[in-house]
Amino acid sequence: MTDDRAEQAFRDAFAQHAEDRVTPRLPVVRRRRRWSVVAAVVAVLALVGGGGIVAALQEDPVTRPANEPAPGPESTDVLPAAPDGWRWATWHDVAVQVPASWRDGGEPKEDWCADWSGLPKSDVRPGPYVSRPVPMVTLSIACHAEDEGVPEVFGPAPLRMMRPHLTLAEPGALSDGETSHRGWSASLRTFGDIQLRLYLADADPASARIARRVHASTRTFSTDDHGCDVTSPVQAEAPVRPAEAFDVATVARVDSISVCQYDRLLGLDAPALMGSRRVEGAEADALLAAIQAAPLGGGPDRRSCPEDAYGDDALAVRLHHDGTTDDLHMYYDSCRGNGYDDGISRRELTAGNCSALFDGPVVALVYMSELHRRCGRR
Amino acid sequence: METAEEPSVTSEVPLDFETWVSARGPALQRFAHLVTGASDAPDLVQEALSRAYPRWAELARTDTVEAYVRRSIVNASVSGWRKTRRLVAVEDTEPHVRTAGPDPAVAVTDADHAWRLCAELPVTQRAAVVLRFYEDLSFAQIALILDCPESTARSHVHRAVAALRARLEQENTDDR
Repeated sequence: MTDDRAEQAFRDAFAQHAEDRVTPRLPVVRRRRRWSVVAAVVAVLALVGGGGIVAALQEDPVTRPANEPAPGPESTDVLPAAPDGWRWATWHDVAVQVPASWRDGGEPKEDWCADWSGLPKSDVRPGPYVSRPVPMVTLSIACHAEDEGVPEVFGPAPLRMMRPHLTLAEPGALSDGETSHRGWSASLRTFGDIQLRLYLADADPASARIARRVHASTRTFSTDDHGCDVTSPVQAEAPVRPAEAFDVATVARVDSISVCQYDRLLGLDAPALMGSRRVEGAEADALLAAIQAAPLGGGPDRRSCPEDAYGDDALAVRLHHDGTTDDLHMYYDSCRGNGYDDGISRRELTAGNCSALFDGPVVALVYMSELHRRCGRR
Repeated sequence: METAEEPSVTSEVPLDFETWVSARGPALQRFAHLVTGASDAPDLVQEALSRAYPRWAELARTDTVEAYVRRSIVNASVSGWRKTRRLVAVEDTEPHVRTAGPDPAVAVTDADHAWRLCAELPVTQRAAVVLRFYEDLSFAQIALILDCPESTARSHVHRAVAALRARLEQENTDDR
Protein backbone atom coordinates (compact mmCIF):
# COMPACT_ATOMS: atom_id res chain seq x y z
CA MET A 1 0.00 0.00 0.00
CA THR A 2 1.43 3.36 -0.94
CA ASP A 3 1.00 6.57 0.91
CA ASP A 4 -1.53 7.81 -1.66
CA ARG A 5 -4.42 6.00 -0.07
CA ALA A 6 -3.60 7.33 3.38
CA GLU A 7 -3.15 10.87 2.08
CA GLN A 8 -6.48 10.75 0.26
CA ALA A 9 -8.11 9.44 3.44
CA PHE A 10 -6.91 12.52 5.31
CA ARG A 11 -8.21 14.77 2.54
CA ASP A 12 -11.60 13.09 2.55
CA ALA A 13 -11.85 13.23 6.34
CA PHE A 14 -11.09 16.92 6.48
CA ALA A 15 -13.45 17.69 3.63
CA GLN A 16 -16.24 15.88 5.42
CA HIS A 17 -15.70 17.46 8.80
CA ALA A 18 -14.87 20.98 7.73
CA GLU A 19 -18.18 21.86 6.20
CA ASP A 20 -20.66 20.94 8.85
CA ARG A 21 -19.72 23.33 11.67
CA VAL A 22 -19.43 26.82 10.36
CA THR A 23 -22.33 29.26 10.38
CA PRO A 24 -20.65 32.61 10.01
CA ARG A 25 -22.68 35.75 10.31
CA LEU A 26 -21.75 39.17 9.05
CA PRO A 27 -22.67 41.85 11.60
CA VAL A 28 -22.43 45.60 11.50
CA VAL A 29 -19.42 46.51 13.55
CA ARG A 30 -19.36 49.43 15.95
CA ARG A 31 -15.93 50.85 16.37
CA ARG A 32 -14.34 51.08 19.80
CA ARG A 33 -11.69 53.10 21.49
CA ARG A 34 -8.22 51.67 21.09
CA TRP A 35 -7.98 50.77 24.79
CA SER A 36 -11.12 48.71 24.60
CA VAL A 37 -9.35 45.91 22.83
CA VAL A 38 -11.42 43.11 24.19
CA ALA A 39 -14.73 44.76 23.49
CA ALA A 40 -13.73 45.70 19.96
CA VAL A 41 -12.62 42.23 19.18
CA VAL A 42 -15.79 40.74 20.63
CA ALA A 43 -17.83 42.82 18.25
CA VAL A 44 -15.76 41.95 15.23
CA LEU A 45 -15.56 38.32 16.21
CA ALA A 46 -19.29 38.01 15.81
CA LEU A 47 -18.33 37.61 12.18
CA VAL A 48 -16.95 34.18 12.82
CA GLY A 49 -20.21 32.90 14.19
CA GLY A 50 -18.87 32.27 17.65
CA GLY A 51 -20.60 33.40 20.76
CA GLY A 52 -19.28 33.94 24.21
CA ILE A 53 -16.92 36.33 25.84
CA VAL A 54 -13.35 36.56 24.73
CA ALA A 55 -11.14 34.63 27.10
CA ALA A 56 -8.65 36.43 29.26
CA LEU A 57 -5.52 37.20 27.37
CA GLN A 58 -2.80 34.70 27.97
CA GLU A 59 0.89 34.76 27.34
CA ASP A 60 2.24 35.66 23.97
CA PRO A 61 1.51 32.80 21.60
CA VAL A 62 5.10 32.55 20.46
CA THR A 63 6.32 31.64 23.94
CA ARG A 64 5.67 28.42 25.71
CA PRO A 65 5.28 27.80 29.41
CA ALA A 66 8.60 27.18 31.09
CA ASN A 67 9.26 24.17 33.26
CA GLU A 68 6.02 22.55 32.20
CA PRO A 69 6.43 18.87 32.86
CA ALA A 70 6.14 16.56 29.94
CA PRO A 71 3.28 14.22 30.76
CA GLY A 72 4.21 11.83 28.00
CA PRO A 73 5.13 11.76 24.35
CA GLU A 74 5.26 15.20 22.84
CA SER A 75 7.15 17.12 20.24
CA THR A 76 10.15 19.22 21.12
CA ASP A 77 11.96 21.45 18.71
CA VAL A 78 15.47 21.42 20.16
CA LEU A 79 16.27 18.87 22.84
CA PRO A 80 17.29 20.66 26.01
CA ALA A 81 20.26 19.53 28.03
CA ALA A 82 19.37 16.48 30.08
CA PRO A 83 19.30 16.94 33.86
CA ASP A 84 22.35 15.95 35.85
CA GLY A 85 22.67 12.20 36.04
CA TRP A 86 20.72 11.62 32.83
CA ARG A 87 21.40 11.69 29.11
CA TRP A 88 19.40 11.48 25.91
CA ALA A 89 19.23 8.28 23.87
CA THR A 90 17.88 8.92 20.40
CA TRP A 91 17.00 7.16 17.17
CA HIS A 92 15.61 9.00 14.12
CA ASP A 93 13.36 11.61 15.75
CA VAL A 94 12.54 9.86 19.01
CA ALA A 95 14.40 10.78 22.18
CA VAL A 96 14.26 9.34 25.68
CA GLN A 97 16.26 10.02 28.84
CA VAL A 98 18.32 7.26 30.43
CA PRO A 99 20.80 7.33 33.31
CA ALA A 100 24.01 9.01 32.23
CA SER A 101 25.98 5.93 33.25
CA TRP A 102 24.24 3.74 30.68
CA ARG A 103 26.72 3.20 27.83
CA ASP A 104 25.97 2.53 24.18
CA GLY A 105 26.00 -1.18 23.48
CA GLY A 106 24.20 -4.02 21.78
CA GLU A 107 21.91 -6.76 22.99
CA PRO A 108 23.38 -10.24 22.76
CA LYS A 109 21.91 -11.93 19.73
CA GLU A 110 21.74 -15.51 18.51
CA ASP A 111 25.56 -15.62 18.48
CA TRP A 112 25.82 -14.82 22.18
CA CYS A 113 27.99 -17.84 22.87
CA ALA A 114 30.94 -16.89 20.66
CA ASP A 115 32.94 -13.86 19.71
CA TRP A 116 34.67 -12.94 16.47
CA SER A 117 37.78 -14.90 17.40
CA GLY A 118 35.72 -18.06 17.82
CA LEU A 119 36.44 -18.26 21.54
CA PRO A 120 33.60 -18.47 24.05
CA LYS A 121 32.46 -15.09 25.14
CA SER A 122 32.67 -13.98 28.71
CA ASP A 123 29.28 -13.73 30.33
CA VAL A 124 30.10 -10.26 31.50
CA ARG A 125 28.56 -7.36 29.66
CA PRO A 126 29.64 -4.70 32.08
CA GLY A 127 26.88 -2.40 33.20
CA PRO A 128 23.59 -1.12 31.89
CA TYR A 129 23.41 0.05 28.29
CA VAL A 130 21.31 1.47 25.47
CA SER A 131 20.93 -0.58 22.31
CA ARG A 132 19.90 1.07 19.04
CA PRO A 133 18.93 -0.64 15.77
CA VAL A 134 22.28 -0.05 14.11
CA PRO A 135 22.83 -2.74 11.46
CA MET A 136 25.23 -5.28 12.90
CA VAL A 137 26.58 -8.57 11.67
CA THR A 138 25.47 -11.71 13.50
CA LEU A 139 27.44 -14.96 13.23
CA SER A 140 25.45 -17.86 11.84
CA ILE A 141 26.04 -20.24 14.69
CA ALA A 142 23.70 -22.19 16.92
CA CYS A 143 24.11 -21.42 20.61
CA HIS A 144 22.33 -23.93 22.79
CA ALA A 145 19.70 -22.44 25.06
CA GLU A 146 20.64 -22.49 28.73
CA ASP A 147 17.27 -21.54 30.18
CA GLU A 148 13.85 -22.98 29.63
CA GLY A 149 10.52 -21.19 29.56
CA VAL A 150 11.99 -17.73 29.09
CA PRO A 151 9.53 -15.42 27.35
CA GLU A 152 10.62 -14.40 23.86
CA VAL A 153 10.77 -10.76 24.87
CA PHE A 154 13.91 -11.44 26.93
CA GLY A 155 15.85 -12.56 23.87
CA PRO A 156 17.91 -15.64 22.98
CA ALA A 157 20.79 -15.15 25.43
CA PRO A 158 20.83 -16.70 28.92
CA LEU A 159 19.30 -14.65 31.71
CA ARG A 160 22.69 -14.61 33.43
CA MET A 161 23.78 -12.20 30.67
CA MET A 162 20.80 -9.88 31.23
CA ARG A 163 21.65 -6.33 32.32
CA PRO A 164 19.44 -3.29 32.77
CA HIS A 165 19.07 -1.74 29.36
CA LEU A 166 16.91 0.13 26.91
CA THR A 167 16.55 -1.10 23.36
CA LEU A 168 15.27 1.17 20.61
CA ALA A 169 13.88 -1.23 18.04
CA GLU A 170 11.83 -1.37 14.90
CA PRO A 171 8.32 -2.40 15.90
CA GLY A 172 6.58 -5.51 14.70
CA ALA A 173 8.58 -8.40 16.05
CA LEU A 174 7.32 -8.13 19.64
CA SER A 175 4.01 -6.82 20.96
CA ASP A 176 3.73 -3.94 23.39
CA GLY A 177 3.13 -4.81 27.01
CA GLU A 178 4.70 -5.70 30.34
CA THR A 179 6.35 -9.06 31.09
CA SER A 180 8.18 -10.30 34.17
CA HIS A 181 10.35 -13.38 34.58
CA ARG A 182 12.74 -14.48 37.30
CA GLY A 183 13.46 -11.05 38.74
CA TRP A 184 13.48 -9.10 35.48
CA SER A 185 10.75 -6.93 34.01
CA ALA A 186 10.39 -5.91 30.39
CA SER A 187 8.24 -2.96 29.32
CA LEU A 188 7.60 -2.53 25.59
CA ARG A 189 5.94 0.58 24.19
CA THR A 190 5.72 1.79 20.61
CA PHE A 191 5.94 5.47 19.66
CA GLY A 192 5.54 6.05 15.96
CA ASP A 193 8.09 3.92 14.20
CA ILE A 194 10.19 3.11 17.27
CA GLN A 195 9.52 0.52 19.96
CA LEU A 196 11.10 1.22 23.33
CA ARG A 197 12.00 -1.98 25.19
CA LEU A 198 13.05 -1.29 28.78
CA TYR A 199 14.55 -4.08 30.86
CA LEU A 200 15.00 -3.53 34.60
CA ALA A 201 15.79 -5.65 37.64
CA ASP A 202 12.89 -5.96 40.03
CA ALA A 203 15.17 -5.99 43.06
CA ASP A 204 16.89 -2.70 42.16
CA PRO A 205 15.27 0.14 44.14
CA ALA A 206 16.17 2.55 41.33
CA SER A 207 14.21 0.65 38.70
CA ALA A 208 10.86 2.30 39.33
CA ARG A 209 12.41 5.77 39.16
CA ILE A 210 14.24 4.91 35.95
CA ALA A 211 11.06 3.55 34.39
CA ARG A 212 9.13 6.68 35.25
CA ARG A 213 11.82 8.92 33.78
CA VAL A 214 12.15 6.87 30.60
CA HIS A 215 8.43 6.90 29.89
CA ALA A 216 7.82 10.50 30.95
CA SER A 217 10.69 11.88 28.89
CA THR A 218 9.92 10.16 25.59
CA ARG A 219 9.32 12.67 22.84
CA THR A 220 9.95 13.50 19.23
CA PHE A 221 12.34 16.27 18.34
CA SER A 222 13.75 18.16 15.40
CA THR A 223 17.28 18.97 16.60
CA ASP A 224 19.07 16.96 19.26
CA ASP A 225 21.24 18.16 22.12
CA HIS A 226 24.37 17.68 20.01
CA GLY A 227 23.12 20.12 17.39
CA CYS A 228 22.04 17.53 14.81
CA ASP A 229 18.78 17.75 12.84
CA VAL A 230 16.66 14.65 12.33
CA THR A 231 17.06 14.99 8.56
CA SER A 232 19.91 16.13 6.38
CA PRO A 233 20.69 16.43 2.68
CA VAL A 234 23.41 13.79 3.16
CA GLN A 235 20.74 11.15 3.65
CA ALA A 236 20.08 11.25 -0.07
CA GLU A 237 20.86 8.04 -1.86
CA ALA A 238 23.54 9.63 -4.02
CA PRO A 239 26.19 11.99 -2.59
CA VAL A 240 25.23 15.64 -2.68
CA ARG A 241 27.30 18.77 -2.22
CA PRO A 242 26.41 21.24 0.56
CA ALA A 243 23.87 23.73 -0.72
CA GLU A 244 25.54 26.49 1.28
CA ALA A 245 29.15 26.24 0.22
CA PHE A 246 31.92 27.63 2.36
CA ASP A 247 35.69 27.29 2.40
CA VAL A 248 36.66 25.23 5.45
CA ALA A 249 40.22 26.53 5.11
CA THR A 250 39.04 29.97 6.18
CA VAL A 251 37.57 28.79 9.49
CA ALA A 252 40.02 30.01 12.11
CA ARG A 253 38.67 28.07 15.06
CA VAL A 254 35.50 26.29 16.13
CA ASP A 255 33.47 26.39 19.30
CA SER A 256 32.39 22.80 18.79
CA ILE A 257 31.72 20.24 16.07
CA SER A 258 28.53 18.19 15.78
CA VAL A 259 28.98 14.78 14.21
CA CYS A 260 25.62 13.62 12.81
CA GLN A 261 25.15 10.21 11.18
CA TYR A 262 22.28 9.54 8.76
CA ASP A 263 20.74 6.49 7.13
CA ARG A 264 20.71 6.82 3.33
CA LEU A 265 18.13 4.11 2.71
CA LEU A 266 15.03 5.91 4.00
CA GLY A 267 14.60 8.67 1.46
CA LEU A 268 14.83 12.41 1.96
CA ASP A 269 11.67 13.01 3.96
CA ALA A 270 11.93 10.48 6.76
CA PRO A 271 13.81 11.22 9.98
CA ALA A 272 17.07 9.38 9.45
CA LEU A 273 19.38 10.45 12.29
CA MET A 274 21.15 7.31 13.52
CA GLY A 275 23.60 8.70 16.03
CA SER A 276 25.37 11.87 17.02
CA ARG A 277 28.05 13.31 19.23
CA ARG A 278 29.59 16.67 19.91
CA VAL A 279 33.34 17.25 19.78
CA GLU A 280 34.69 20.15 21.82
CA GLY A 281 37.84 21.76 23.09
CA ALA A 282 41.22 20.47 22.00
CA GLU A 283 39.67 17.50 20.23
CA ALA A 284 37.60 19.85 18.08
CA ASP A 285 40.63 22.00 17.30
CA ALA A 286 42.59 18.93 16.26
CA LEU A 287 39.77 17.63 14.09
CA LEU A 288 39.40 20.96 12.30
CA ALA A 289 43.13 21.14 11.69
CA ALA A 290 43.17 17.60 10.33
CA ILE A 291 40.32 18.38 7.94
CA GLN A 292 41.99 21.54 6.71
CA ALA A 293 45.34 19.79 6.25
CA ALA A 294 43.95 16.87 4.27
CA PRO A 295 44.91 16.52 0.61
CA LEU A 296 42.46 18.06 -1.84
CA GLY A 297 40.54 15.87 -4.23
CA GLY A 298 38.58 13.64 -1.88
CA GLY A 299 38.83 9.85 -1.49
CA PRO A 300 39.85 7.21 -0.91
CA ASP A 301 37.49 5.56 -3.36
CA ARG A 302 37.18 1.87 -4.01
CA ARG A 303 39.06 0.49 -6.96
CA SER A 304 36.56 -1.98 -8.30
CA CYS A 305 32.86 -1.52 -7.72
CA PRO A 306 29.79 -0.13 -9.51
CA GLU A 307 29.83 3.63 -9.52
CA ASP A 308 26.29 3.72 -8.19
CA ALA A 309 27.23 1.58 -5.17
CA TYR A 310 26.33 4.27 -2.72
CA GLY A 311 26.89 3.58 0.94
CA ASP A 312 24.23 3.00 3.56
CA ASP A 313 25.03 6.00 5.73
CA ALA A 314 26.89 9.30 5.76
CA LEU A 315 27.86 12.07 8.11
CA ALA A 316 27.05 15.74 8.34
CA VAL A 317 29.93 17.36 10.22
CA ARG A 318 28.56 20.65 11.53
CA LEU A 319 31.07 23.33 12.49
CA HIS A 320 29.89 25.81 15.12
CA HIS A 321 31.99 28.96 14.78
CA ASP A 322 31.69 32.73 14.84
CA GLY A 323 28.04 32.56 15.83
CA THR A 324 27.07 30.46 12.81
CA THR A 325 27.13 26.90 11.59
CA ASP A 326 28.48 25.34 8.42
CA ASP A 327 28.00 21.76 7.32
CA LEU A 328 30.59 19.51 5.76
CA HIS A 329 29.29 16.42 4.01
CA MET A 330 31.40 13.36 4.79
CA TYR A 331 31.07 10.09 2.86
CA TYR A 332 33.07 7.03 3.78
CA ASP A 333 31.50 3.86 2.46
CA SER A 334 30.55 4.69 -1.11
CA CYS A 335 32.18 3.38 -4.21
CA ARG A 336 33.00 6.88 -5.40
CA GLY A 337 32.83 10.27 -3.75
CA ASN A 338 34.28 9.46 -0.34
CA GLY A 339 35.83 12.27 1.63
CA TYR A 340 34.90 15.67 3.01
CA ASP A 341 33.02 18.23 0.93
CA ASP A 342 32.47 21.86 1.89
CA GLY A 343 30.71 22.69 -1.36
CA ILE A 344 33.86 24.25 -2.82
CA SER A 345 36.53 21.61 -2.37
CA ARG A 346 36.70 17.93 -1.55
CA ARG A 347 39.28 16.63 0.91
CA GLU A 348 40.64 13.18 1.51
CA LEU A 349 39.81 11.08 4.56
CA THR A 350 42.87 10.62 6.76
CA ALA A 351 43.52 8.92 10.06
CA GLY A 352 43.49 12.32 11.70
CA ASN A 353 40.15 13.51 10.37
CA CYS A 354 38.20 10.24 10.23
CA SER A 355 38.83 8.00 13.21
CA ALA A 356 38.02 10.83 15.60
CA LEU A 357 34.45 10.89 14.31
CA PHE A 358 33.41 7.31 15.11
CA ASP A 359 32.79 6.89 18.79
CA GLY A 360 29.83 6.36 21.08
CA PRO A 361 26.56 6.45 19.13
CA VAL A 362 28.34 7.16 15.82
CA VAL A 363 29.40 3.79 14.47
CA ALA A 364 30.49 2.48 11.12
CA LEU A 365 30.74 -1.00 9.72
CA VAL A 366 33.72 -0.52 7.48
CA TYR A 367 34.45 -3.35 5.12
CA MET A 368 36.95 -1.55 2.94
CA SER A 369 40.38 -2.20 4.42
CA GLU A 370 41.80 1.16 3.41
CA LEU A 371 39.00 3.01 5.15
CA HIS A 372 39.34 0.82 8.20
CA ARG A 373 42.98 1.86 8.48
CA ARG A 374 42.02 5.52 8.37
CA CYS A 375 38.69 5.51 10.20
CA GLY A 376 38.94 2.70 12.72
CA ARG A 377 39.29 3.67 16.35
CA ARG A 378 42.78 3.34 17.75
CA MET B 1 -25.18 41.02 14.80
CA GLU B 2 -25.73 44.65 15.68
CA THR B 3 -23.60 45.66 18.64
CA ALA B 4 -24.95 47.65 21.51
CA GLU B 5 -25.28 51.02 22.80
CA GLU B 6 -22.01 52.85 22.89
CA PRO B 7 -21.92 55.73 20.50
CA SER B 8 -19.63 55.50 17.61
CA VAL B 9 -16.31 57.17 18.09
CA THR B 10 -13.64 57.98 15.71
CA SER B 11 -12.31 54.56 15.21
CA GLU B 12 -8.76 53.59 15.85
CA VAL B 13 -9.56 50.09 14.76
CA PRO B 14 -7.87 49.64 11.45
CA LEU B 15 -10.42 49.03 8.79
CA ASP B 16 -8.34 46.26 7.28
CA PHE B 17 -8.54 44.25 10.52
CA GLU B 18 -12.27 44.02 10.11
CA THR B 19 -11.97 43.28 6.45
CA TRP B 20 -9.45 40.55 7.09
CA VAL B 21 -11.54 38.93 9.82
CA SER B 22 -14.60 39.07 7.62
CA ALA B 23 -12.75 37.37 4.80
CA ARG B 24 -10.76 34.82 6.80
CA GLY B 25 -12.98 34.17 9.81
CA PRO B 26 -14.87 31.18 8.44
CA ALA B 27 -11.69 29.54 7.21
CA LEU B 28 -10.02 30.08 10.58
CA GLN B 29 -12.94 28.51 12.35
CA ARG B 30 -12.83 25.51 10.05
CA PHE B 31 -9.10 25.23 10.69
CA ALA B 32 -9.60 25.44 14.44
CA HIS B 33 -12.26 22.76 14.33
CA LEU B 34 -10.17 20.41 12.22
CA VAL B 35 -7.16 20.87 14.47
CA THR B 36 -9.03 20.32 17.71
CA GLY B 37 -12.15 18.43 16.72
CA ALA B 38 -13.74 20.25 19.62
CA SER B 39 -16.72 22.48 20.03
CA ASP B 40 -14.62 25.33 21.40
CA ALA B 41 -13.14 26.17 18.03
CA PRO B 42 -14.86 29.57 17.98
CA ASP B 43 -13.30 30.39 21.36
CA LEU B 44 -9.87 29.49 20.06
CA VAL B 45 -10.35 31.77 17.10
CA GLN B 46 -11.51 34.55 19.39
CA GLU B 47 -8.43 34.12 21.57
CA ALA B 48 -6.13 34.17 18.57
CA LEU B 49 -7.66 37.30 17.11
CA SER B 50 -7.56 38.98 20.53
CA ARG B 51 -3.83 38.47 20.62
CA ALA B 52 -3.37 39.55 17.06
CA TYR B 53 -5.28 42.79 17.38
CA PRO B 54 -2.73 44.70 19.53
CA ARG B 55 -0.02 43.63 17.11
CA TRP B 56 -2.04 44.21 13.99
CA ALA B 57 0.02 47.00 12.52
CA GLU B 58 3.27 45.06 12.79
CA LEU B 59 1.72 41.82 11.58
CA ALA B 60 0.19 43.58 8.61
CA ARG B 61 3.44 45.33 7.80
CA THR B 62 5.40 42.07 7.83
CA ASP B 63 2.62 40.10 6.12
CA THR B 64 2.59 37.51 8.91
CA VAL B 65 -1.00 37.83 10.04
CA GLU B 66 -2.18 34.48 8.78
CA ALA B 67 0.78 32.58 10.25
CA TYR B 68 0.50 34.38 13.58
CA VAL B 69 -3.21 33.74 14.00
CA ARG B 70 -3.03 30.10 12.99
CA ARG B 71 -0.08 29.55 15.32
CA SER B 72 -2.06 31.17 18.11
CA ILE B 73 -4.93 28.79 17.48
CA VAL B 74 -2.60 25.78 17.66
CA ASN B 75 -0.82 27.03 20.78
CA ALA B 76 -4.05 27.85 22.53
CA SER B 77 -5.40 24.39 21.83
CA VAL B 78 -2.16 22.84 23.08
CA SER B 79 -2.44 24.79 26.33
CA GLY B 80 -5.99 23.63 26.80
CA TRP B 81 -5.08 20.05 25.93
CA ARG B 82 -2.29 19.89 28.48
CA LYS B 83 -4.51 21.21 31.21
CA THR B 84 -7.24 18.70 30.68
CA ARG B 85 -5.34 15.58 29.70
CA ARG B 86 -5.21 12.97 32.39
CA LEU B 87 -1.73 11.86 33.36
CA VAL B 88 -1.09 8.15 33.65
CA ALA B 89 1.73 7.07 35.91
CA VAL B 90 3.93 4.20 34.84
CA GLU B 91 2.67 2.11 37.73
CA ASP B 92 -0.82 2.34 36.35
CA THR B 93 0.00 0.69 33.06
CA GLU B 94 -1.50 -2.67 32.36
CA PRO B 95 -0.46 -5.45 30.05
CA HIS B 96 -1.67 -4.87 26.55
CA VAL B 97 -5.23 -6.12 26.21
CA ARG B 98 -6.91 -6.46 22.88
CA THR B 99 -10.13 -4.47 22.97
CA ALA B 100 -13.34 -5.36 21.22
CA GLY B 101 -13.38 -4.50 17.56
CA PRO B 102 -15.83 -2.19 15.83
CA ASP B 103 -19.36 -3.20 15.00
CA PRO B 104 -18.97 -5.23 11.82
CA ALA B 105 -22.37 -4.02 10.69
CA VAL B 106 -21.01 -0.49 10.27
CA ALA B 107 -18.67 0.00 7.37
CA VAL B 108 -15.67 2.05 8.39
CA THR B 109 -14.26 4.12 5.61
CA ASP B 110 -10.70 5.22 5.13
CA ALA B 111 -11.79 8.72 6.04
CA ASP B 112 -13.22 7.44 9.31
CA HIS B 113 -9.88 5.87 10.15
CA ALA B 114 -8.13 9.09 9.28
CA TRP B 115 -10.41 11.17 11.47
CA ARG B 116 -10.03 8.79 14.39
CA LEU B 117 -6.25 8.84 14.03
CA CYS B 118 -6.28 12.63 14.01
CA ALA B 119 -8.02 12.58 17.36
CA GLU B 120 -5.04 10.71 18.78
CA LEU B 121 -2.34 12.95 17.38
CA PRO B 122 -0.65 15.70 19.38
CA VAL B 123 -2.18 19.02 18.46
CA THR B 124 0.87 20.37 16.66
CA GLN B 125 1.19 17.25 14.54
CA ARG B 126 -2.50 17.29 13.79
CA ALA B 127 -2.22 20.91 12.72
CA ALA B 128 0.60 20.00 10.33
CA VAL B 129 -1.56 17.28 8.79
CA VAL B 130 -4.52 19.65 8.41
CA LEU B 131 -2.34 22.30 6.81
CA ARG B 132 -0.90 19.76 4.41
CA PHE B 133 -4.00 17.86 3.35
CA TYR B 134 -6.77 20.41 3.82
CA GLU B 135 -4.99 23.64 3.10
CA ASP B 136 -2.51 22.07 0.63
CA LEU B 137 0.38 24.09 2.02
CA SER B 138 4.02 23.40 1.37
CA PHE B 139 6.27 22.19 4.17
CA ALA B 140 7.95 25.57 4.19
CA GLN B 141 4.62 27.29 4.73
CA ILE B 142 3.65 24.80 7.41
CA ALA B 143 6.96 25.37 9.17
CA LEU B 144 6.36 29.11 9.14
CA ILE B 145 2.91 28.75 10.67
CA LEU B 146 3.95 26.25 13.32
CA ASP B 147 7.25 28.04 13.99
CA CYS B 148 9.32 24.92 13.57
CA PRO B 149 12.03 23.71 11.20
CA GLU B 150 10.83 22.45 7.86
CA SER B 151 12.24 19.04 8.75
CA THR B 152 9.92 18.90 11.72
CA ALA B 153 6.93 19.78 9.57
CA ARG B 154 7.89 16.98 7.18
CA SER B 155 8.34 14.58 10.06
CA HIS B 156 4.92 15.37 11.50
CA VAL B 157 3.19 14.63 8.23
CA HIS B 158 5.33 11.63 7.37
CA ARG B 159 4.67 9.95 10.68
CA ALA B 160 0.93 10.55 10.51
CA VAL B 161 0.72 9.13 7.00
CA ALA B 162 2.76 6.11 8.05
CA ALA B 163 0.53 5.52 11.05
CA LEU B 164 -2.62 5.71 8.96
CA ARG B 165 -1.17 3.46 6.29
CA ALA B 166 -0.40 0.87 8.96
CA ARG B 167 -3.95 1.02 10.21
CA LEU B 168 -5.42 0.67 6.75
CA GLU B 169 -3.13 -2.26 6.04
CA GLN B 170 -4.22 -3.89 9.29
CA GLU B 171 -7.82 -3.30 8.27
CA ASN B 172 -7.16 -5.12 5.02
CA THR B 173 -5.58 -7.99 6.92
CA ASP B 174 -8.46 -8.27 9.38
CA ASP B 175 -10.97 -8.35 6.54
CA ARG B 176 -9.42 -11.44 4.99
